[in-house]
Amino acid sequence: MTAADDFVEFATAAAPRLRRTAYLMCGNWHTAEDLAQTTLTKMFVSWRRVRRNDAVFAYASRTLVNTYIATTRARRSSEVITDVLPEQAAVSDSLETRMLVTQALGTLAPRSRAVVVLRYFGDMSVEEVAASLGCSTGTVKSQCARALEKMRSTLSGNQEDGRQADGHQGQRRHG
Amino acid sequence: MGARLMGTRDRGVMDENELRALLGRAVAHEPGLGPLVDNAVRAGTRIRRRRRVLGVVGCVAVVAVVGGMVPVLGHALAARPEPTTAHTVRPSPSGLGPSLAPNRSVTSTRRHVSRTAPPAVVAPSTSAAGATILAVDSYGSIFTVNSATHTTGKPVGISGTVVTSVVSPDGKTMYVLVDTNEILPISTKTHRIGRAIPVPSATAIWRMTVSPSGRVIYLSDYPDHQVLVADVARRTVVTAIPTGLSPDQIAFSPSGTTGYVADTNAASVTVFSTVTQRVLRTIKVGQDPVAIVTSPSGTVYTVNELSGTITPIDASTSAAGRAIRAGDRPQAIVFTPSGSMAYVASYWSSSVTPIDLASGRALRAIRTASRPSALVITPSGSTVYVLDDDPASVTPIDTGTNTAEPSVRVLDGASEVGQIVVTPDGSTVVVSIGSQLVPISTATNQAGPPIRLSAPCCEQMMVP
Repeated sequence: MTAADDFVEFATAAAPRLRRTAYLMCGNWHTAEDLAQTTLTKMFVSWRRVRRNDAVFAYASRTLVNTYIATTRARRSSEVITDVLPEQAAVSDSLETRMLVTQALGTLAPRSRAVVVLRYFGDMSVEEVAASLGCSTGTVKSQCARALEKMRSTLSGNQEDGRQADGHQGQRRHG
Repeated sequence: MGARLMGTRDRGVMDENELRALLGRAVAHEPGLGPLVDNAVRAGTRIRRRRRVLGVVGCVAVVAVVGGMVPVLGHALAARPEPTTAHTVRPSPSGLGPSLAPNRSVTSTRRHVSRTAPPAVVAPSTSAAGATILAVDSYGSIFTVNSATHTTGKPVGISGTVVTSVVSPDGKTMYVLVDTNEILPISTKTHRIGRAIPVPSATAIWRMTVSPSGRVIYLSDYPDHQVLVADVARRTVVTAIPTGLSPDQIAFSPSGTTGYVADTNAASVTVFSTVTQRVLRTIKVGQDPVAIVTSPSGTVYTVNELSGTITPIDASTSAAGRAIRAGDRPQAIVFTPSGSMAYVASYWSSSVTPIDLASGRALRAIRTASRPSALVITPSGSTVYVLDDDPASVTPIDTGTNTAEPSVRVLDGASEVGQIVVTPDGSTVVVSIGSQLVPISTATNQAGPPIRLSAPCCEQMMVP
């Protein structure tokens, strides 16, 4: 099997998961697809080196996070985070869940959001998340705790409290 | 509000497992997946190709073959003179003749000592006096190799990193684009550097093409979707020709009055007048024309990577003809000297597609050892040598029978290949892989010992 076949096999298997991970980070399927595609492009370029790693998907996650954080830096103001839920006449449970979760994630700073997604959606260990983000395990733990707290308050409707307890400063510090 | 979420709210707590479940449900109803793997491969291939062009991987190209000189790698190397200077001559066990190997113990006398690199490439040619070959390395040093004496001349050091280079059609001048935003004209005979032609942004330039008259250099400004026109005599960029997305290769009509720019990210060719430097028209071709070449019979052909076709363009009317299927992701095309047949490297199909140009019909594809990225045809037209990527090998194809001969493994373990060239006498095919060159005798189809370059990359080699 050639490296190119190898890549296509990996990418085809990894693409849906990468895109879902990206979606939870950016909250938009279009951007998620772009992020996943950019990640796969980067991996293709250095595939011959990458494929020798055992943890190729972890590498992909790391690349995805870096790509995502780079885009949020590039256009920090493009995403408008609102505390107010849009009025919905009749929505399905899944749509509502999606909206609430992405909204709750949206209140987090990009790096915290990446931590939460990798840790709880990607099922990565604290160590793996730390390696992916290039920070200490302590940072991952504290960001997880803070993010969880913040999401809790958002999801429980205490938006005011959520703003007060905004973990942004703390997250920036670790950024 | 959904019951579960209400529950979460009511309790005011959310544990880790609940968050896991919520995140999982948040992506439950996702839209259909686009062709992102395909797009990634396509974009990645392009980036790698560009890196090769910029010399990250290393590339070699014989860009000019001048009448009257018969460059002969094998013959020249077989002369086996005494080594006298910065290169030592090693006898070749394969009988291909000795190869030139950089001698690391000899210090170059060139100006930029800190970036000293031995000549990265040699492509000897012969003439009455023993012709010289120019090799440009990525550090911007130009070396000369005299094929008769196997000596290197004094290297011409230039400042800046080479972006790309090209030789004029008359073979007298080499133009080297350096990242200090200038084109340096260098005499291929005296190696004197002429006055520089300033350009706006060298790194945006993917390719330089000299007009058939030699008076103009066309600079393919890939990211800005234009071709800059540099007037050689006036030493200035005089105008820009707007093109379709991502212009790269340029071909000319046999008369030289019309230029055809392949818009590699579009499905078009921008036709311009080499007299007025104005766009004449845009021709619709297949998607992603990555190569454009004028056949010996005067028809211009585009190789459309994404459509998997080639499109003929009548150079007299500038009208596109019917596209011909050419395998999956074709990359490159060569023509037999008569112009009756074309051979297309179809990367994704791992094959070469022979095409009968008279009938416009693709013949049965010829399997290659792995993915063909480039090909050359011997001057006699008897054999096509296909450079296979991943792993690196060369597959010879007999054009008489359209069958592949046993492929030649080059540099075991190497995967990423650069370029392939054939000497004008057809005796030797040279392949660049990373920082090495592998000569292959066309008589025996045996690879000779690799010529190891100590520079990470050779930008181009030229037969002036």
